[in-house]
Amino acid sequence: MVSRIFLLLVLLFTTITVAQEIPPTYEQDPFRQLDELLPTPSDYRAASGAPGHRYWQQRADYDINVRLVEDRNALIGEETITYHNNSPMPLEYLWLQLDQNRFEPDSRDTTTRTTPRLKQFTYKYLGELLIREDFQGGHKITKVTDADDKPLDHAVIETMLRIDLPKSLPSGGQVTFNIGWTYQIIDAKRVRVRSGHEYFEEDGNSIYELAQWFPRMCAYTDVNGWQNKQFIRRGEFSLEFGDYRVAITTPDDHIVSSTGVLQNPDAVLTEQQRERLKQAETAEVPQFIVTPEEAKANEKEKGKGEKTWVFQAENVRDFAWASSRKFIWDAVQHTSHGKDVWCMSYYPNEGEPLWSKYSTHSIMHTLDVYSRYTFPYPYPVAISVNGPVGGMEYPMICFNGPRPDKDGTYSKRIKYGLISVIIHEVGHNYFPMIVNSDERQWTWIDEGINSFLQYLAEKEWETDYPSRRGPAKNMVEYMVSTDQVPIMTNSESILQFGHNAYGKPATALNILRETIMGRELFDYAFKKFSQRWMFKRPEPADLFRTMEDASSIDLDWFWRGWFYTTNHVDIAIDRVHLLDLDSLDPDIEKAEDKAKRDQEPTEITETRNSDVKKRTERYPDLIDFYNHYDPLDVTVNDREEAAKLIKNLKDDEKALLKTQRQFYAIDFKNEGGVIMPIILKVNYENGTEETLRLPAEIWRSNSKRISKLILAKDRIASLQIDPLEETADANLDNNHWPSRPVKSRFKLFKYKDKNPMREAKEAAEAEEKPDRKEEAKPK
Amino acid sequence: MRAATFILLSLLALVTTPTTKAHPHNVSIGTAEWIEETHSFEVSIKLSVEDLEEILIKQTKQKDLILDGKSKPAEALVKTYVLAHLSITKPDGTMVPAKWIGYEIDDATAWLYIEFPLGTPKLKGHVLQNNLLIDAFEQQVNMINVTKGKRRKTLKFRKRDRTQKLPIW
Repeated sequence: MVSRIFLLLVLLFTTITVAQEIPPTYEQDPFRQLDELLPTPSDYRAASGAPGHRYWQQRADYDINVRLVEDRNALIGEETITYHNNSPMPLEYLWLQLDQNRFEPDSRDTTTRTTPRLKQFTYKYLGELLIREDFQGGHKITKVTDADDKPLDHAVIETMLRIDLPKSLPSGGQVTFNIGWTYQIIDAKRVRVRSGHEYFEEDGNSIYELAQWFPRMCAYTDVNGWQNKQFIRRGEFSLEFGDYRVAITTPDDHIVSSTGVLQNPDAVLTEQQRERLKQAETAEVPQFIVTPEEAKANEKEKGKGEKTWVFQAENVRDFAWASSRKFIWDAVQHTSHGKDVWCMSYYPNEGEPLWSKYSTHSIMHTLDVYSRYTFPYPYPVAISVNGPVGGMEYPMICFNGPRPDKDGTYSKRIKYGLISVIIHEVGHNYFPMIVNSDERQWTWIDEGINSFLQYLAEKEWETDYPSRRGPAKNMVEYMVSTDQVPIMTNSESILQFGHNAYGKPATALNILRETIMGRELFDYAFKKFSQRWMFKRPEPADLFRTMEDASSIDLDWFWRGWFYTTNHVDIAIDRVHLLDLDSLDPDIEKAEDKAKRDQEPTEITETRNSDVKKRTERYPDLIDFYNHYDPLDVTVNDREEAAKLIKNLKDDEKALLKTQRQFYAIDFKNEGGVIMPIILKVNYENGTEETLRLPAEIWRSNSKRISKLILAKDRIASLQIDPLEETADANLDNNHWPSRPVKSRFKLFKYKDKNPMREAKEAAEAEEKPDRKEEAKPK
Repeated sequence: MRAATFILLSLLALVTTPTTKAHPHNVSIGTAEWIEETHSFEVSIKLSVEDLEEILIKQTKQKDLILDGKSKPAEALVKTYVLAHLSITKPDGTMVPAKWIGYEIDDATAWLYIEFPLGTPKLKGHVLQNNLLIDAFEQQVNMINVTKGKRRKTLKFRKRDRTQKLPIW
């Protein structure tokens, strides 16, 4: 019956014309389910987004001895790898990664650099090309042998090493083999790298930050088989979990900082240092283990002998370390979400006073915030090291670059740059060090999620923290740019890397949390994803599926719009119609219709013919019934019909007939392509306001144009879409009714701040003032 | 001395790796909107306040410089810097006289406003140069969305691509 009441609605102002649009094709439907894009669920990966009941992953344990040869800036290493084949398939060969080979003259990275614009071909660029022609930077393999030290057949293919197994490794089996290698440490002051050394001319010492330093097992997965795509530059690492025992031999006056837990403190630390560590165990704030003064003194002369530091790390996917005689070392054991974690920082005096003030605090803050959204930090150590690398993450340890100026002062940019980069790199422990996504394939999974959590952590550091990524409105200019690829693009093919793999996914997740799912639902589902994939290897589909599975919200449209297209958000208010209820009373309705008819202008010919004598005037016989009939006159019949209609209505329907509501039909247009919820602020003529949050499904029958009926208690004065700018709506011009062209930032500024009248007035006042002063002066 | 600088710079960038994945966010982005009535471009650019402060402090040695969007002497520094690094060259090689409108601060973002009256309806042959922060930060990328009516084209500026032709609309 309700529909009948609505059928009786009569338009007061205008007729709604439902535009006859061609329905979207199958490909264009933004609500089309993702099923055909996502891999079919399997025993390994469940349809819920969780690891399947037969989920497996490989495992590689490492026992490594490495020596840092300081005067040659070289590493000499030997490792024994025990590889466990947990896959259901036998393996005929094993693949390992030799990442440093990217720096070889004939590497894919070097040879695939494309021509710069020839007009801009600088001496500098030419210089680069020439130097790389014979620059030797790779891993030099000295031996590959089996457990009995018998040589194994192997082949180096660019950044990959294949070891041919004498007999295939069965499912469930394990194999042990040895590799020896040398490694030239790159001068990171001259070459931008993720791993290298920095030489300080003033005191003749170096800081070494070492990563990708040993041949590492490639990942072998249920999704890609061997992940042995060559390392070109951006697609970082795809690795297996395992246990590490690493013995690092360095000059005996070096301080070594590393993934894992130090096994032989008695052999490498002084009694005083061990005593200070004991105090730091129960301290609230970071304590110096090596003070700035001690580090300064240590720089003065070089030790003669060597020391071997032994570290052990369990269940990590990689291993990195740093070494220098310049290191100051501060530490505190911090309890975060029930776990005791050693938070420690290593930095030279050049990092002071910034580093002792902010580094370790930033680590503790990161653990506290990230653990709340994911899982308690499971490792015993979290370290931040200052050296030549700008910002790079490894398990338990990360390298961060910002330093104050020589005089110890620093800019705001350096301060917040340091805190942000430490939060970001320590945060990478969660993604991808523990939630072990495949970076060679997808940069955005770990970088996007980590940038999102970084934003949450920054917002809890201090009020008005200058965050760069997170707020929706910051993404608008990127999203309308023409030089884009979808987020779901392989790491090496991304355009606008930072916006694409960091900013946009971080913003998307924040919008999901604040606008689409709400904090409670999002946080629950996101935590579920983190915990399901802790120490496992998720794919994009596992994230997409879990977020839906744990929330009961179909988000396929969101993933499609934000992750698979380069469309942007732009929702417009097209038109607003005010409707009235039919009272069913012919005396009222027909009178209204008559009044409306009377308002219509008379036909022009009729008007100009007013003094023409008409034929019916000349021959009145021609006049009959129809010359007096007015269909808008109320007849007895009308009244009877109406009475009958009303009589047939039920009591509740009669009550509805008297409804004192304003009926508004609001037409929305989707100009940008990405569908989003409509956040509509309604201002009433009586001065009240409300905000309607209409879920994105409002677009499900037509993704370009929809109309929403609002039963308002009062007349609407104005409407605004997305008043808090939370949806990344790119064009605010069309967000208002009555239409209110929003001035571009440029115009807004120009007309806000440049007021010629005021300026003239101020100038005039300024001219007057000196005169007055003169008068006031005692003569 | 100049030659020496070149060699040093080239070494710096050798084996260029945008390695540090942490913050590849030395990016400015802006809009150049063509105004048909006045035959001019209205340009608004957003970039990091801290980046801008840093380069101005380096250039002027004014350690305590803070861009609050209000101080007039600070605005003069910003203006000088921006107009020296952002320009449009006419087909005949001369520069379009840029008009400084001003700047404002919005959280961590600085918004710059500059107007370029081309004095002709023809964009063909005009070249936009956007050098902002490029010499200060190795990985700086500047992007400008040029819009004319409904048409839009993104131009990208980097160390090796400091200039771009305006679209021939």
